[in-house]
Amino acid sequence: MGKNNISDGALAEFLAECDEITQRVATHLTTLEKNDPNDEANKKIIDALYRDVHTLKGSSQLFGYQLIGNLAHAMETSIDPVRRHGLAIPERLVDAQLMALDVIEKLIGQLRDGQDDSHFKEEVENKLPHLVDAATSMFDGDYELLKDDEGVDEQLELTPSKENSENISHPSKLQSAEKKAVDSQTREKSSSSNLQSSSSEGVNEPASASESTSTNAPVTSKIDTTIRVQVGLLDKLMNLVGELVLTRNQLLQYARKTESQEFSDLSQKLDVITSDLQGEVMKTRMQPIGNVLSKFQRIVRDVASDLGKKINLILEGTETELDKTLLEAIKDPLTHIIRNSCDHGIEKPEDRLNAGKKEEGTISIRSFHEGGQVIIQISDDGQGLNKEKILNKAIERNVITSQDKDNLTDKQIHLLIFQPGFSTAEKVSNVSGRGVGMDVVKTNIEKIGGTVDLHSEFGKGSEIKLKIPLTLAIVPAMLARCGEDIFAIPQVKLVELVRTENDSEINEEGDQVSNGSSAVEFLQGEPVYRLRGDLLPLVNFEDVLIPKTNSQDREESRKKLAQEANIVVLNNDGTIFGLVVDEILDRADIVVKPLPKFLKELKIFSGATIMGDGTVALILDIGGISDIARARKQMIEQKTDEVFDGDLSVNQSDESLEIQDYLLFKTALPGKFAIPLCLVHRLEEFSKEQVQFSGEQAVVQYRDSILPIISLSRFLDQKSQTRDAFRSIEKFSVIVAQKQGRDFGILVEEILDAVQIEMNLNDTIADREGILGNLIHREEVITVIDVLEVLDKEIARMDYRNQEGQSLQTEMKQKMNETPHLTILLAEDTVFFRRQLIRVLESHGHQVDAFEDGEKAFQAFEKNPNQYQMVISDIEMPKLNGFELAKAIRASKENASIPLIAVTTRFRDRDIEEGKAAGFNLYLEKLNPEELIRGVNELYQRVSADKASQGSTKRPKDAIQ
Amino acid sequence: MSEFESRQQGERRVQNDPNYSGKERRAMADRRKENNKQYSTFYIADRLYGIEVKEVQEVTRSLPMTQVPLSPDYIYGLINLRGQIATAIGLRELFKIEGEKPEKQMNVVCRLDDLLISLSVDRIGDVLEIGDSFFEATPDTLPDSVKKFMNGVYKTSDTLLSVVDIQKILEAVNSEKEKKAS
Repeated sequence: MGKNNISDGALAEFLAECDEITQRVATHLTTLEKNDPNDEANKKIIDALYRDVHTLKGSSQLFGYQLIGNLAHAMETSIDPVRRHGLAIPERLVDAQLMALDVIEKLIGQLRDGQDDSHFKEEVENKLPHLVDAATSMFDGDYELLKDDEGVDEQLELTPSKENSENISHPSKLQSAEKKAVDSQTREKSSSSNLQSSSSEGVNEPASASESTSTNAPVTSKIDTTIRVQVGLLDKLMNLVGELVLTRNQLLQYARKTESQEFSDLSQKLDVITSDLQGEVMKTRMQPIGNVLSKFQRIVRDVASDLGKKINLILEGTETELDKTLLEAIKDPLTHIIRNSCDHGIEKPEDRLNAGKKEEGTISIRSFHEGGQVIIQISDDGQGLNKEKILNKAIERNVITSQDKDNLTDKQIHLLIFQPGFSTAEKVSNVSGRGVGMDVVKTNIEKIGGTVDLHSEFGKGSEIKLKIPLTLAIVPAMLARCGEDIFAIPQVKLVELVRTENDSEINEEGDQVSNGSSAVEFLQGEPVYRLRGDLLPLVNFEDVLIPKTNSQDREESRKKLAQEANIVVLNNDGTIFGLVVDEILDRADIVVKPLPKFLKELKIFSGATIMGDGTVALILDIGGISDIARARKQMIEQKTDEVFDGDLSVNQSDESLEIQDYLLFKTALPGKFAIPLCLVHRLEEFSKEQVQFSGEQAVVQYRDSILPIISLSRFLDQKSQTRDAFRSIEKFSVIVAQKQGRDFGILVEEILDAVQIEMNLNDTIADREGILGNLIHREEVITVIDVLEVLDKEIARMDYRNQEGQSLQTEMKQKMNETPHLTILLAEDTVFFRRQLIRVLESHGHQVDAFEDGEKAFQAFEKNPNQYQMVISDIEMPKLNGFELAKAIRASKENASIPLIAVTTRFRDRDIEEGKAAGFNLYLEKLNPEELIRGVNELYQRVSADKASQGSTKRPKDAIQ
Repeated sequence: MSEFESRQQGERRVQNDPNYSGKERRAMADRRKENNKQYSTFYIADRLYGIEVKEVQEVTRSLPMTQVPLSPDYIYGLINLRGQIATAIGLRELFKIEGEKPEKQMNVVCRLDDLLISLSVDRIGDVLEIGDSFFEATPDTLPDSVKKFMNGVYKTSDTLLSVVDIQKILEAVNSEKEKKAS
């Protein structure tokens, strides 16, 4: 039968197993004989005996050795009643078992010598049934019971008619069988001696060793060459070697420092020996994958004949070695896959012929090493996966909803078969299609750190690719640094490494998005990278480790990212994403150590390992991090949709949003610009003729006064000349802004629009004076001009040439002297607003203590409540918002009279009501310095004039006008 | 401890007397074990704590540690203990005991199933052997932050020894994470 196809290695494995089993069975039987029949331990021994004999039966039948199989079956059947009904085992049965065992051992000996056992066939088959029958008949009625329980078919094969059961001379008959066996064996001995000569060749190989053992002393010689060792012991050995390696590494480091030549020599030696030892110990756990694969020949053959199909199984790379534990672990998943291929993959012969294929289907299993992993490819030339069927079934089984249906790629549809509870077999066969299977395959393979991939083409076939780590204990990994710490990234999930550098200068508009594809870009604040044309969502590992709540820190990390980034591209179950780390170090084989449950629940680390220098490094849980990435990607996609709708809203959970009206315009410089609308006093248009010059300063007569015209392009780009600007254009637009009660004209090229933008200003790139930061509006980056700063500078510049400016300064100083100088507590989360407010307040002689959230501000206030004469607060802030801050301050009676001003960009009645209730005296608009200063002064004077009354809350609307 | 000594002597008699059956002897030995426990003691902020000796694998000086980002403050990090990885838990933080901790803390390493837990403490004390008669349940008035980790208290002649239950520590640490997760 199948034995001709069995590889030598597999046969040796089988024989070693048989030896082990027969030895155990003999021990069990003799122990049973010795023991008190009523000893409770007997039951366990009988169970073990039954199991062993059952295994023996199974494996010998699998290998096609029917004689051993039949004998073992007979033994199994005869023990069964004893096992089932907890009976005492009769002596005679033990005798019979032992004799059967002897025959089995001889048969095994035959096999080892490469002899055919067929001449035994008749004798064994004639005599064994009698043995069984006799043994079972000892229990009178129990035999019938057994028949009922076991199913008649199986019994009929081996148990002859009832009359024979009276025959009690089986032992002697068996003995004669044995005798003949011995005779035939001695007869063959001479011819088998030539085999012995080859035994010296493979002494090191346990696989071939047992095969070449001498016939004369089978028992002793096989012990010489192979020993079965507990895997647990090997594990311990492996651990110890790991520690030895670490110690060796430390020793080598030390050896480099010392002068002693002898010490260096010795440590060198130790180094070599340790490496060898490590290699050998790792080898002890390795076994060729063929040990598992060869049994599929049989399975495929049986399944094919059951289904009436013709299937040819091709095995390639059976010598590929794999850790023993892994080999065990992939046995079942592989069986599932093979059965599935036979059942669902390969079509019936007639269907194949109709489809123009060969009648005989082919399944091939190819295994090979690749990148420190073992790849097992199972491919068939069958019908492939039927997308429609899968989709329908998936919807029927509630694996997906019908809405999902259209959004799935082919690949995603194919991968649905790995979902739990999924089976597409139209009728449930006994081969496969029980609704479990492929999901079990996936979970089992993933349990051992492997991955499953599937590729299928309808009508042409499917291919399943398993990636299995070489060993469980040692995993190839990539080491990366983030901050001070080193982390290990399992190589199974690694796709590639990318390093980006932003070589292009930040362009004129201060545009943060680099035009080239060579750098990290930001899509609605989330980092992405164009990897060969596809957007790769990025996860900045630093952000994962230290979540940044503060927008300033976030901006800084973005800035850093745009400059340069080391990206580890990872693939987790088809989700591709990039993990940004500070530095990519080296490849290393790491020994995985488990983490306690409470650390695994962080979902970022899957384990830990000990590095060469003895420090502990954490292993990243790519699945967990991928979840973070997926959530981010969804967010990005959502945002992209929103951008296309033209309605921009950023949904950053922990950051409040500022709504602000802006005036958009163009200047002579490229790009679009904006200034906050609240600073715009009027928009005017002047003709060329109206412009006059006072020195270099362009001025226009405007409402009985002189309006200085400031060219924004000149301010931002010193090269362009003001005069030139007026020469070319007939009419030009001017934005009139006010500062300290004076009008100033800002020359722009074209006024575009006034828009409301709900987004926090990004002040990452404010590379020169006069720029506040950037905004994104309808996918365009807009530069926001710091009008107040521009005016300040221009006033200072004009000071030399313009009498108006001089008087303005004096006027300002006078004004400043009139106003009180207060110490103000400021709470504002947005950096640029904070800066703006500080500048405005300080320029009016106030002292400002600013904090980035309500909590910090309140803490500072509580520490020294008398220090501050006024509190100005933003409303939307993290931790403690403006309302909460006001309530907290007002909670104490002593603070009932301190003036509170809310500055905000939100002017909903509801907000204003709430602000009043919380205790704010005044509700003001941000970025309106005039209003702010007036509000501060008026409120302060009113409060100090009438300290007793705290009901001085002004109608906010009045305050705003 | 005279009461205890006389009982011990009595037991020794039983051990050697052939008139007592093996079963009785075993029972006696069991009782002895039960009544008289050994505690590995340590200090946090001059408070004395003890863990049963059989729970403690070893005591080490402070070792280099790898911090675990995003973990609670009482998780100091991971320690390489001769090739095994132990998780260091700062009892000071876990028990919410305020004050300055010494520059170098000591580690009491306990093995729980397959897990190595290293408890970081201020100072190591002696191993104390105390009888059951000195035991008392944890008083209700103790703050829950410490009480939930305690099994009870022993009143020795000069001080009080709080018995720390490593199993309770592990449960609390595990459940805290779950709480956070949900």
